[in-house]
Amino acid sequence: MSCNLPGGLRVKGPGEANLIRVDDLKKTYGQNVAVDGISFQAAKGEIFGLLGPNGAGKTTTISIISGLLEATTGTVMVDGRAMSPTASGVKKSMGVVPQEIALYEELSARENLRFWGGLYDMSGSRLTQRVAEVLDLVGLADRAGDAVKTYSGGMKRRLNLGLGLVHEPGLLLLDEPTVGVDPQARLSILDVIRAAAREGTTVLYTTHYMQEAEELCHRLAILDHGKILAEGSVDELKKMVGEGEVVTVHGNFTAQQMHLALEGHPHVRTISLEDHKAMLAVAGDGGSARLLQDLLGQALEVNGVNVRPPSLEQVFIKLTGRDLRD
Amino acid sequence: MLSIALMVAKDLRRRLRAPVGLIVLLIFPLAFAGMVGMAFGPSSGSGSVLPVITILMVDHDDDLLSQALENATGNEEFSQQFHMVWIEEEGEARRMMDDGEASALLILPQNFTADLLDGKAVTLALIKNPAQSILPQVVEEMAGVLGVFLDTGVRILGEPLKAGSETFKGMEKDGNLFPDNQALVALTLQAAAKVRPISRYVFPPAMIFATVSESDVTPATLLQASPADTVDDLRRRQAAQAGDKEVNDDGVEEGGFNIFAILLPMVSLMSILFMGDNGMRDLLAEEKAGTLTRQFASPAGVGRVLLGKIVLTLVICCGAMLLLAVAGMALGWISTSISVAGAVLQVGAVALAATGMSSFIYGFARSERAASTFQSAMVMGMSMLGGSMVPYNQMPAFLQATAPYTINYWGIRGLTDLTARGLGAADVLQESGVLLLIGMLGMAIGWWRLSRRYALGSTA
Repeated sequence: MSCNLPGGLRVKGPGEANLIRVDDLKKTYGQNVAVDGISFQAAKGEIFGLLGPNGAGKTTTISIISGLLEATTGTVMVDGRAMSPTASGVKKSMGVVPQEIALYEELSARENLRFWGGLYDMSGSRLTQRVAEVLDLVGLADRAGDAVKTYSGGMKRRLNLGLGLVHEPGLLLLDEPTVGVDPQARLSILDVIRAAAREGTTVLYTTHYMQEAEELCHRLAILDHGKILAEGSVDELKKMVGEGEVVTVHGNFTAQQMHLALEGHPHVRTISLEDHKAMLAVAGDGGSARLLQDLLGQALEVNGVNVRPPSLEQVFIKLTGRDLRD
Repeated sequence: MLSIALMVAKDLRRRLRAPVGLIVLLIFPLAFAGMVGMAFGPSSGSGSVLPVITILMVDHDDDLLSQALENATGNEEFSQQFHMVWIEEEGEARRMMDDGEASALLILPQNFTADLLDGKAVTLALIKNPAQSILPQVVEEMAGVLGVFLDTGVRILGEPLKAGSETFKGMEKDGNLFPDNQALVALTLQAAAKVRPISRYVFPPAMIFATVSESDVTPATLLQASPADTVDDLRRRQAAQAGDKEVNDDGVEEGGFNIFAILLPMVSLMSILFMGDNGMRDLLAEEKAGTLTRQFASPAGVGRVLLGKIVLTLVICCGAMLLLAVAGMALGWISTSISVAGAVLQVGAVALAATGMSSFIYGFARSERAASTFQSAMVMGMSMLGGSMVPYNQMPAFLQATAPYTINYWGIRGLTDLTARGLGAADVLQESGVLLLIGMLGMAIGWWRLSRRYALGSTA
């Protein structure tokens, strides 16, 4: 059973078959552990995000799944078949969009798409039709015959994504596809990914942009130092912070003073606490206002207060004790 | 196989969009061979640019040396360039000169032989045709060489020549048809004694010893042999003589010396080896662009992607050689009737060897710069030793010994057998075989190194 969300999004229901299943995946380079026994699965049409800072192991995970690297231990099953660097049958059902823009600059968008489609055994009118569809999808139909080297950065990013979609893959692997892209191009890329998912493509998406992951992904795994710290839907992850609001307090106080002020407070949980800044999860209606009154009542010098609903950034801070930008 | 064809087609299309590098490599051998050929050889291989020069000769001497001169200038090779007309009357000869019937008139004075053998100064009179500029100059130069030749000859062989002259005069006086045997032997021994000490400096060996079977060569072939010829050369020449000589549209018999038919293969070999680099370098360029990793992630995988680059290099080298051959034929440097089977075999072998060398180098190089530097050094070194820059047999013996270890040596040998000697596929089997071996070995090592490197995931 599955349920549909507004905008055509859907999440896997219990018992629905997983298109990709990763079990206890580990990759080591000598003493360095890049991926440390991670496991997850994603269903058909699901957008699954791997969220984590640089060096968390996202690209290594994607590289193993796409067959570019061999895992030290663990298995990757795609549509019931084991993935390995030589499993060309499994590779046919996957589209890979690397982090860097990997295009042939001398060729046109159409020629690039035709080549990559051909490499995945597409040919004839089917290929021609699909190339036209992808050109429309990524908004490059009017520039299809121009050499890629004449394109803007955003156009190249969109084509880079299109190359991964041309052969209609069942599983699309996206490794930070919006790095260095302007906001307009980013929105366009996210729209294309959503459209692919609506068509039934499972998307495995790595990013370190919290907002992007929150907007796009049906489910997420938060990755750090090669391990999955938490996994679930965005709402499930946010609940780890709290049901109410997140209050960030800035002022002339120490962490110790704030800790004493909050001690025994029934509706407040601390997310993070340092000198001059406290991030607090507050439950219940009007809880934020009561908290503020209490703090002012204890003569703490407060310079600013920010009240927001919980976000993934706060989840990450709660899990790792540090900001994602660190 | 389809994916390999797709990859090669894509890479060729990319080359055509930015063709400058390949065009330069294609033009280089044509331009270089053209310049060198025009500077040092006859034009377009059709023989001498000079017309036959007519020289009038008046012999007031009629003795041993003047008669020897008449005989010597009557040989076929000399007659191809000079038409010697011996006139008895000087007045008739001068009249012919006035009428412009010859380029020059050379007068041998009375007692020319006797005075020369007595060591007296002898003056040869040369009258040049003022209406001509270059041809009389050629005759003057030739007369100068003749003077030096006679002077040197008389200094060395003066005594036996003098004795010979007297013997022959006495023979005429006595009415004998043949000289006395004893006197003839004495003369021969005397002349031999004079010549022997200097022969090793002045003359090349007149005889070489090599064991050949009757079927290998005919006496005619042996007579044309030069001291530098090996038994293989004799066999090749024999094969060439056995084939029908062909006549081109201009009625010029083909098979004569054509410097372009030798220069073009020489320089082309160097160019093709550089083109090999152009093909394999794409591997590192694509690695840098990220498209290589992306192809590895496709169903083609590492193996077929690497094979695609090797096939691309092979196609580029074959295509370049084909274009050079067509250009050579269009320019009249190469005969259009060369053996097609031989050309296919040798071109394929050269292309394979060039690909093998590049695969080997890129199998070990980690960066474009390192590969390019190593490739350039290898190509230049092999071109120098293997005969692409200077004919290898013009180099010192110890360097000549290294030539067979180069691709250029075997490539040039096989190609010139086809273009300059008019031989066929069977005659270039050895050269093609060696090149194929080099190519296969280079490709195998390169393939092993590259697939190992990329299978380890260094690009991920």
